[in-house]
Amino acid sequence: MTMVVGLFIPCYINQFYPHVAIATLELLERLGVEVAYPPNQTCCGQPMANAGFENFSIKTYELFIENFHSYDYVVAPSGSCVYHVKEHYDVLGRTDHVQHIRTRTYELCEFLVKVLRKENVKSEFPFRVGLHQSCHGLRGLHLAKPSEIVSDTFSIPRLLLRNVRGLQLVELDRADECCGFGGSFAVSEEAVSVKMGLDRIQDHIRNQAEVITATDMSCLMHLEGIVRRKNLPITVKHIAEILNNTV
Amino acid sequence: MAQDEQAKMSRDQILKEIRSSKPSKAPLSEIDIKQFSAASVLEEVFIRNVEAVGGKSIYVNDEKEVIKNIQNLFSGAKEIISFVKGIDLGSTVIKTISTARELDKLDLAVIKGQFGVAENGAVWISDKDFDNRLVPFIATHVVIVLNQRDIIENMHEACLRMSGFKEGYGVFVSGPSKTADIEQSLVIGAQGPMSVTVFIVNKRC
Amino acid sequence: MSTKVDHPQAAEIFNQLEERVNWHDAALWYVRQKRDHAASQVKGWEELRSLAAAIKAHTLSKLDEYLVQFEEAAIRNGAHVHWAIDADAHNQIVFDILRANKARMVVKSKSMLTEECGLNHFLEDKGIEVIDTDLGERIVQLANEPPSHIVMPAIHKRREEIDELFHEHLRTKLSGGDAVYLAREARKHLREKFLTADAALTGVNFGVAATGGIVVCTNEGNADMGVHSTPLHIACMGLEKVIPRDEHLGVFLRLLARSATGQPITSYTSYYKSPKPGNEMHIVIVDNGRSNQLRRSDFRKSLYCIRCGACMNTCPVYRRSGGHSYGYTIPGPIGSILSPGLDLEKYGSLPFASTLCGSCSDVCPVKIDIHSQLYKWRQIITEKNQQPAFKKMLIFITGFIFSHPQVYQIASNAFGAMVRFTPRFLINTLLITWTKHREFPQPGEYTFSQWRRMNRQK
Repeated sequence: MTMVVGLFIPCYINQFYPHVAIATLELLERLGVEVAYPPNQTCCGQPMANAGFENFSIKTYELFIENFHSYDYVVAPSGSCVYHVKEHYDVLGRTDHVQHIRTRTYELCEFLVKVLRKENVKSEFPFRVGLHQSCHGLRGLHLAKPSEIVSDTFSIPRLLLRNVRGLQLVELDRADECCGFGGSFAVSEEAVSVKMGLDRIQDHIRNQAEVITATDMSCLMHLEGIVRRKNLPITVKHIAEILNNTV
Repeated sequence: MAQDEQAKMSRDQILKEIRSSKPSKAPLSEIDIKQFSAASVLEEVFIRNVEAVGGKSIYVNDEKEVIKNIQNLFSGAKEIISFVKGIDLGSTVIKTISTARELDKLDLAVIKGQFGVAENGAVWISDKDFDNRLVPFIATHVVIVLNQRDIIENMHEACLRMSGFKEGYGVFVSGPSKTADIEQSLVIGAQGPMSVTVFIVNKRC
Repeated sequence: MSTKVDHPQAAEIFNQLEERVNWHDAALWYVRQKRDHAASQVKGWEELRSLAAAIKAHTLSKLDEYLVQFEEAAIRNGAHVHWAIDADAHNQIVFDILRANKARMVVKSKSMLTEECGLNHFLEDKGIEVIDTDLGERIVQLANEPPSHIVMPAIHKRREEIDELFHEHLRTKLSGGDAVYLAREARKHLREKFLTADAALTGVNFGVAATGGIVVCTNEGNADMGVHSTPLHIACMGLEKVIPRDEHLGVFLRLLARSATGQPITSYTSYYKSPKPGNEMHIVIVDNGRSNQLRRSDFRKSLYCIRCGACMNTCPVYRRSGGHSYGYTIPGPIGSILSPGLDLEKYGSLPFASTLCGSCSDVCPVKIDIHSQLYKWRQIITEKNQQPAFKKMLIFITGFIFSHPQVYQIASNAFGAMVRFTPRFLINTLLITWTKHREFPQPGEYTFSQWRRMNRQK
């Protein structure tokens, strides 16, 4: 492969879930991709912007552009960060660099399937897995057909998970209800946020999932927080870790 | 005249606000209703949907069968009004001015439907189908007589068909009145009729 | 200065009774599922939505022309047309018409607009009795509460509560909440009101410009029962309800009930053009902030709304906080993008009562970009409304850290160490907004960038 991918690791994954980042890097390298990691990267700016302070994130956007504009593709194990870049970075003006980034930034799963055209990444994960369809990836990046929309069913994450040896995908009662994280919502509307998270977890448990996976670690961080506090019989794992689980 | 002055000022002010704030012209093309057409047997779909909305539908050959069916189904009905030629069950005559309270006694109203809509079991009726607009609502039970040939597919066709109707009032009736306001429990028969029965006649009547 | 709506606090109170939240959430989710089923039965559903949005976009771009056309046609039909700049003007106009006709008791079918204007209280203060005839509205009227949903006003009320309410006000037997019994009793009670009312007030779902006619959709038949039993019909219409022609009506009628309740159409779709000879018909066209919203290019699409309530049914936050927590006539996602335009200070918490999941935008039959408008309102609110100094500083610091890589490196290394060495109870106390019911995440042994430096010497 002659292309070079710039790997973007969301701030909270860098901090709390480095294994997700490692899995993403190793997975891409295993598939023959040349991956670069701009060392000066920080954040996509979404936390401030969603809290209503987009003007405070402009400099962060500019840093992102500076770090990543020279790569053929930018890949991140995060639907919401990628959605934010694609949807809101036009506030910087539609320069060549900005447009390049907005069109070439991909969430990990969609990069695998749409660009690398790989649906089977030769991994194994013999567990019952529930797929939590993180909202920004689902409705923002069109990673799958949302339950509200009337059209042909498709799902990029499911496609990849179905090819994981031993993995059993469970069907949930509510296929794509939000987990309740929502960034600052998680603290400003704590009661509803936790209730939403609890309901999601119970849907998975009710349908006998052992592991909850998703394209977004922010959702999983919130769900895991509830699982740990309430000692619930389920764990979370980012999809990158499942896809990189080679024997 | 001060009130009229103020009225004109309000109107002018609102229109002025709109003119200065409306977005630039967004064109609108003709609606291609063919894209919404699904191949189906219209009568079957119509009947299915009348039932789905809580109504009843009965296939008959002619007016005589309608009368027989009504006599069976509504044997207890005393005050009946019929606006359909050839269906003379009417024991009640509506005087030019009937009060609402007088009409409240109506057990059954028999009305001719102009056309039915397969996708939702609705039937279009208007001022020319009854003498008093309250009748289709205040009668405890309503019977609609519809010609089989007058069933069309969907609301696109329906609105084209009734478009620019000359009468002062018309209504699409889809099943009986209903409510689900008490803990989502569906109750048939709310403020309007308790039942709607559609007779589909396969002969022009 | 009206009291600020504190959605988080109201939501927290709502969540104190988990069983009730589950019940409320399940009831609304069920309606969402019915909507999904109904939509799946329509060939070209998504194209229909696009068409509806296009019709609304076009209509707004020529709104003044269509309103004038509508008025002229309505007058030709024999109706009177009035224009009300705001809620007060609307209420006064309605009152003046009622007074001129010596009306003492009026029956009203569902109209969110009249709720918005506070018409009931206004008329009652002036000695006119108003009876809401939609069963859900009648229930909340008897309970002296505002509606909590625009289509199902009493969705928050359990059958036992309604049973007691009717027992108290309508003298029904205690039935344990027998829906059929209660509905039958309500029918008798309301029938008597229809037969003795002096006037009927209705809302308007659609006003057709080409014909001057107004269309009202009900399941109960209560709009028609009122209008045809009384000699005076007053129809209150938001100015954004006008549509160009009958053929456009077809598009909206296919979308409305399916989106609202999953029915293919409401029991009655009533098209009023001319009053019965001897009767009077008045249409009141109301602005009340709508022309202002039209001016806001980011938010004008909210005027497409046909008041179906689908956004509320699908919203995971609405389902778990209830309509009353929004403190506005129209709650939920659409309410959260309409109300800030009316009072930014009062409704400033509403655009934040969302995770921006986008489900509302997906179910909206007229494709309002609700989730995008929520995001945009947030930017305006933080700018215009006073923010707590601490919060502003925190955001500023975060913004600074994220735009200075070296500072970020230091901060993230330090943060990890700090969290690792802070006792759990202290973390839980300091970060209580997260940790009340959740564990705080454990920082890794190292950050990814540290790992990379150690393992991928480049």
